[in-house]
Amino acid sequence: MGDTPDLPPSHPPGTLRLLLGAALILFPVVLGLAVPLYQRSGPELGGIPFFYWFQMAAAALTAVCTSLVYRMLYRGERDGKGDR
Amino acid sequence: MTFNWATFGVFLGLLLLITVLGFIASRWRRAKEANRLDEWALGGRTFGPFITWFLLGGDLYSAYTLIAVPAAIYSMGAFGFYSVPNAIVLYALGFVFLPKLVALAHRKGYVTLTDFVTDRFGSKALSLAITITGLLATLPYLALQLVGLEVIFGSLGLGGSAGDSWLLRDLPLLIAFAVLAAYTYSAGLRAPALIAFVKDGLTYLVVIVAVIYIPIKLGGFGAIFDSGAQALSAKTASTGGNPAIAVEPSVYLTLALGSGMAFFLYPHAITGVFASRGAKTVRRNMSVLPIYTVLLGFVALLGMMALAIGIKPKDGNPQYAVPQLLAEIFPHWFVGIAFAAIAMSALVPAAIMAIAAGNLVSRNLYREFRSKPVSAKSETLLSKIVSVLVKLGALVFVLTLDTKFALNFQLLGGIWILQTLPTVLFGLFTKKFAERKALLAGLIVAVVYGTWAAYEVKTGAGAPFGGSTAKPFFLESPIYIAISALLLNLVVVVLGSLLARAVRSRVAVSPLTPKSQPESAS
Repeated sequence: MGDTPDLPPSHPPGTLRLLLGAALILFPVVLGLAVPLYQRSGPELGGIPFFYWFQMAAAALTAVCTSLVYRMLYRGERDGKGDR
Repeated sequence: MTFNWATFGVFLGLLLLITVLGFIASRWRRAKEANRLDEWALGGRTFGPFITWFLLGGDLYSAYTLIAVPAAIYSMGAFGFYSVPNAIVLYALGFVFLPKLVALAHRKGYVTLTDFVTDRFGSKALSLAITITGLLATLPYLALQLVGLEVIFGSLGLGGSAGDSWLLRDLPLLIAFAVLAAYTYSAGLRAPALIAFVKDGLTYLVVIVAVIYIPIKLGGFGAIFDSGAQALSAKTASTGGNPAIAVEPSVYLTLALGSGMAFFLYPHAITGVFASRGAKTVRRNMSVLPIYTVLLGFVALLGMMALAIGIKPKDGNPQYAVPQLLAEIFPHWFVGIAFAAIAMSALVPAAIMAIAAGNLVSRNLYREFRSKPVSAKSETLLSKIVSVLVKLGALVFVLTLDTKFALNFQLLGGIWILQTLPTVLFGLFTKKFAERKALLAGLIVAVVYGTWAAYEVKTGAGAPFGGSTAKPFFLESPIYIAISALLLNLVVVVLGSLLARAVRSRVAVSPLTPKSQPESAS
């Protein structure tokens, strides 16, 4: 029992990589929340107003960005640690 | 709506299939120690990336989502689309904090979020507050799943009308409830996990077919949005601008942010996460699951399609918009598949919610506040019994009270559950900063403020709980009440913690926190 101990990192990532990772996670979130940016009808995509398709694109971008961060920072992360 | 044998036959066949699956699930990946709580409640914590994907997808895409999100677009226009940025927020946040939480849960045997809070802060009062908040937020959510089932039964033309006896009227719901309760009792989380495969498979099928076929039939998305916007402007009588994209930015943004941040604090979401094999599984899922959101966006657009072809929902209840749209467009047998998919989307999350509530009661109320030690066997038994009682409660709730009450309660639940965020994040990512008394004070202040603020929002008729957004403090634009409450919460936590630290360093006695010994690295 005690303060939350950190997972034993395989190799601690550098500050620059952490900052880049944070930026990659935040970027699509900011896009998805920037209502004035996408509150417009055009340009349409296949008849869907900008408002709608932009947010769906931001969601797809979230998957791309978090996958990048996963590859960059968390490749060494493991599941069970032989504790079961 | 009228009864149709083809629709009903397909629907019944699929529901029988998942009922069988629910009962054989107890033999699936069978437990070595069946009496342990995490065997029944978390499927033995062995679910890999594939099963976790379906289980978490099952959590997120509930019947409530499939029905209520398009219904929101149907009745309010673009506003209903906030569930898409909401999903962006929830996966991004989940990616950041869930892997660490699940790794701890495995190592220390947490079954609920309260287990983590108890271990980390060692405060019975704070743990109790977290438990009660979780329970109160889950119950209306569970009730709304049953409301979703009712809508589907109504769309099938099942159940009597207002003139019939209550037994005839509610018989389908009672049968569904009894079956659900029985297989959840026997198989635990394995039942919804197994059923989630069928449910998600069918949901994908229906949604993909619907979003390709309906626009073709209606002359493309351009035509849908044109006639949808016309229907909206006739309905909302808005002035100027395109009604299909009219949202209040501050409301839209804060609702997406607040409900997104709250999602993984709900006990049922945590149950799905803790059942996974570990940090890697969760992190990978969080990075891939956002793809689901694109599908959610198309589900939401079903509301626009319903507007475009001028669906007039039964009893003026917008929740019938999507079922009626499907029934109007598709052949009877396919409607049966679609209704079955929505019904399963009620049953899967309902099972997980009931299990999560059972765990909170058995582990964090019964075991925690009983002087005698509780065996794993009786803890599990209690969880099972409570999971049935909780469903019974939700059933009574739905059958006796106005749906409006469940919706109000759900709205408040969303505001309340977000207030547990500081405890979880400070607990996970800071070692000494947050003071447990300050966290508790912040939670209480924010819950009281949020409840009051929501009460003050009046409906058109002057009744309380008219909505979840209000102008907070000194701000000009209305925002989601959960967000203003969270800000208040954070102020209390930070100031309280700083104050406690200042007092402590002046008194210079040993720290108040009882748990300051570092754990040896495992």
